[in-house]
Amino acid sequence: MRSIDDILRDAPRHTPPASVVAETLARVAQDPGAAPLEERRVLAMVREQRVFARWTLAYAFGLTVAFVGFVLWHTGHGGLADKPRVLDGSAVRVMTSAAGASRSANTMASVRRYLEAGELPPVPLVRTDAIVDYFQYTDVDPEGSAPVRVGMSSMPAPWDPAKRLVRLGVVGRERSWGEHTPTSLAIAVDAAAVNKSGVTRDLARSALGALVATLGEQDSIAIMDVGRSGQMVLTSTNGGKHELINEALAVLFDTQRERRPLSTDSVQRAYQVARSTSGFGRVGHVLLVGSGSMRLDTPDLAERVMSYVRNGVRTSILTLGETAVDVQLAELVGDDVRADLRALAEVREQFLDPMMRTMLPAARDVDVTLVANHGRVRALSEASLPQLGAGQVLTALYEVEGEPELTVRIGFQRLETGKAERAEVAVADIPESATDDDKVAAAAAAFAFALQAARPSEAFAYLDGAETLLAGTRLPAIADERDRRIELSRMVGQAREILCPPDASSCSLR
Amino acid sequence: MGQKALARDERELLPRYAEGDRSAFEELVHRFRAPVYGYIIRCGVPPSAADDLFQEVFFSVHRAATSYRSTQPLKPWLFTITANAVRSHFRKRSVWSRVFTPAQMHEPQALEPGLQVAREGAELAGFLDGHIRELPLKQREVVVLCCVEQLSLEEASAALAMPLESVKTNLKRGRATLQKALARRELRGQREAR
Repeated sequence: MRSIDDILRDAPRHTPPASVVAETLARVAQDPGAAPLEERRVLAMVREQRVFARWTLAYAFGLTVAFVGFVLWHTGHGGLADKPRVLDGSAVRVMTSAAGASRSANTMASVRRYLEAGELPPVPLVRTDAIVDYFQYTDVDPEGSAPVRVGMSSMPAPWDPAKRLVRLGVVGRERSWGEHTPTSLAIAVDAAAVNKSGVTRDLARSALGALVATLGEQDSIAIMDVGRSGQMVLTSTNGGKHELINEALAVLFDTQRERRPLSTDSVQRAYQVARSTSGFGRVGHVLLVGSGSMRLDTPDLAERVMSYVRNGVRTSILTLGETAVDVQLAELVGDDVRADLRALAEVREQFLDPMMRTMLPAARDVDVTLVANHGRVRALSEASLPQLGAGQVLTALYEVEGEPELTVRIGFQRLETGKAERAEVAVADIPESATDDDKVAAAAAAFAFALQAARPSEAFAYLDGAETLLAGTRLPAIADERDRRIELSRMVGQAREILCPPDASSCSLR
Repeated sequence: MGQKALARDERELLPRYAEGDRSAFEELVHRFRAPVYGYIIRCGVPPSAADDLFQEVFFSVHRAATSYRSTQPLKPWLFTITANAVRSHFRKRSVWSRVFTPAQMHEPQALEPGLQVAREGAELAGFLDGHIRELPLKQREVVVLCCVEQLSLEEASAALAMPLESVKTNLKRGRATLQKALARRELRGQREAR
């Protein structure tokens, strides 16, 4: 009798239809992400130069030794006035943008930085969903005991009269902070990296200090400096003991202490000590805090992270200052990455708020989608989250072509009962409202499209659309610089100037 | 070309693509379209979703091309991306299974048009192939990688981010279940012959 392996070796081949292969290749060819060839070329050049530099160094060294030997042998005394010139690859600047090689959860801040530096951001960095989501919308809270409310509105697409935009606003019910889920947290800080600069040290101290302030008696926290020697700064401690925890943070950020670079073994030790000392008997969340690049090729880091994820331990990454996180590492932790945070406001918005939402959810497995029986529906941003926080507002924006029958599918899990609930609502008439929220979402999408456009004329049309939409919103009577609509309006103007400087004879994209 | 030379050649495809050679990516898709699609189908993804998932996998490969290092074998790396895509598909489906009735969710698991079944000597393989989809997902993943795609235990462990011992256990259990199905089939055949 043949073995299973022998038989399966002859298993039938499953091949995709040729049209699917062709579509795949076409989709890849059209993707702007295929463009960072320039960046790849630079990296390749650096690699080549490094190899070249190493060979040159070895060659020059050999020549020098031979020459010195010859001089000493010939003259009987040594001494060379000039040192041999060594070629060095360090002259080539490596672009470490968030595009391609790394991923930043901080899309809007990165886009802002590029524009302020007088450059257009790389296309892969411009995520329409993240830009639409950046703005605060005023959707109505759920009524009664409903954990989730979904609001709908529609308006003509400003960039194409044949299309319309449908916005779904998903709101999680507000709850009091005292109801938050008890958390067992292990914080692994790469103190050597964070303490390198005063800015990142202050940011880390503020971020972790603010996090500690939210913890209560029911939570536990352990802190570890994950330098090579791996020093435990605080074994698992009751989250209500704020004074003690803050003292531990002061030790961690004390610049006088000797620092060693990140060691994966230390991350694992932090986890183990936190687990053994935690009142929960387990760690629910490992938070890696660092600065600079965090990459999978740190020895064993992937293995450790994977083992946490496999064991159901939420693992997230917080990096401060100019940083990049390896794409594969980000994928391993399910994109639970807050990277490249450079200001306290960003830390609050990108790290603390999401963290608190996770600890105080309104519903789980929330998925709200718009589907059409025919015609085309394109999702510009989607509303799908494993956990919707209390008071959190999610905005899904769809571009609808034609006159299809639309249905909104809503699915979520109730926290109290764990029961999954679902609803399917056929939408006969979505109100053509064009509220301020609709206009801001549409303007945000238009701004993203402008930054992704392939032709200047296209980009200008989108920027015009964004400006018109923003002009139609009711801005506060007193202009508040922190109002994100004002910020968007400023960024639209910056993009326009970069595309077409006032003194330029022609306008270009990149 | 020998197996080693072929593997070395495979490893050069993504770096070549990253350097700007688009034909390398086409070659990669053509070379791995059957293993990737086969993995997706054998893991029980319905054919209508398999096409999209296939595209997603190669799109992710294209996006991650710069992070691939030619020192690591390509096939396990590719299957890591594929396995993640399949798992993500099932996770999403588990959410939707709570939303829709089973009749709407489960499509018939008929063999898809692209399936090429060799007429002779492959009946047993076809029979087992169908049974793989009935195994639990972890066993399915391991059996497909180790028995069909001929990855070593270590490579499967790396591709699936699964400890080596778990790979061995799942493989053993998967093989045993398939062996039982095979034995039942033979018994039925003998009864019918009588």
